[in-house]
Amino acid sequence: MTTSDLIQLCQKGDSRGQRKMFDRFADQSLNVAMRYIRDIDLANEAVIRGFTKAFKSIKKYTHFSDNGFKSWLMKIIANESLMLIRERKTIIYHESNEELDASIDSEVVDRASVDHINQAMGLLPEGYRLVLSMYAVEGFSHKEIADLLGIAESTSRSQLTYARKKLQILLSK
Amino acid sequence: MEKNFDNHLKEKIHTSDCSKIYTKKLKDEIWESVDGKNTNYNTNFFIRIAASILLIGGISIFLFRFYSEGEAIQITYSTEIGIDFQKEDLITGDEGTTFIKSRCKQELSICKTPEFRSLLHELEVTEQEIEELDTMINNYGYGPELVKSKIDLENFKSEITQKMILMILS
Repeated sequence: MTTSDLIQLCQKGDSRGQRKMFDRFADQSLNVAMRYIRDIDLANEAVIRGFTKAFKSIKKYTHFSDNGFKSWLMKIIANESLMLIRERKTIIYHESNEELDASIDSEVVDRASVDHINQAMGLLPEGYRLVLSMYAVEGFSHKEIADLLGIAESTSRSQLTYARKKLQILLSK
Repeated sequence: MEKNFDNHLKEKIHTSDCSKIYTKKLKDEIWESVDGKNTNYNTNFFIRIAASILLIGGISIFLFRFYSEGEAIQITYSTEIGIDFQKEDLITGDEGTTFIKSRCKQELSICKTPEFRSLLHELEVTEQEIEELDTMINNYGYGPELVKSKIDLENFKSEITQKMILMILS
């Protein structure tokens, strides 16, 4: 059954269709949630909230492509993960001059293994990691990031710049 | 250069997006929670329907009593003042407030009285409280306390709406 078929079933509120949709995207959703939260229990909660919200809202969307649906769902999971973080603590937006001298070289990322990248992402200060994941991986705009995190767009931009440079330094080591 | 950096990062991270996987047991548990919350949304729908039925029932009983007591009341219906009920309003149970708003748009003198305005204020506050409660229910699911509060608020809203409709019709 294609994702489009499942979308149609979910739009009709079909419970079996919803279960199949959940089975198809649950693992990926957990990975997205873990990228933000790094706590398995909270990540599970984000997945639950994300799917619940997605099934509630899916009727409003009538022109989903398979990829469009996936990125929409992952954005919801990311959003719910951020809400959970914000409910529990204040995010500190670190800014350091240490990273400013580095110039961006995309080859560094290309050469690094997936494990090394995941490990380096885990070492980034939280604000850097959140903004970099939201912007570069999930495709949020700076305005969306600013709204979701409750920060200025300029802070989102500066966190992104710092994050890229810091990640590059970590990957070069 | 920064775009390339981001694209490479995105590609690499997406290839690792299935590294963490649920066990069958945990997946079933997580699904049960998702399914449970979905069922709650259906419950929410039925609470709204129940509140609508209560409201309509209340108005019908009042009108029936009014006629039975032999009061001379004449209600004239015309297409000019007909209420344009939207399908969505009927589903959400907001037909009472739609009726009040459409009548007050016609600048009826009753809508300007202090008593009516006070009720209107109460209605707006109650609607806001219901909205906040809905947000809580969406975030935290249905607990017995939330359900009770929801029913109380919907009943209170019905009472206020009923009073206001009666003032308009009198």
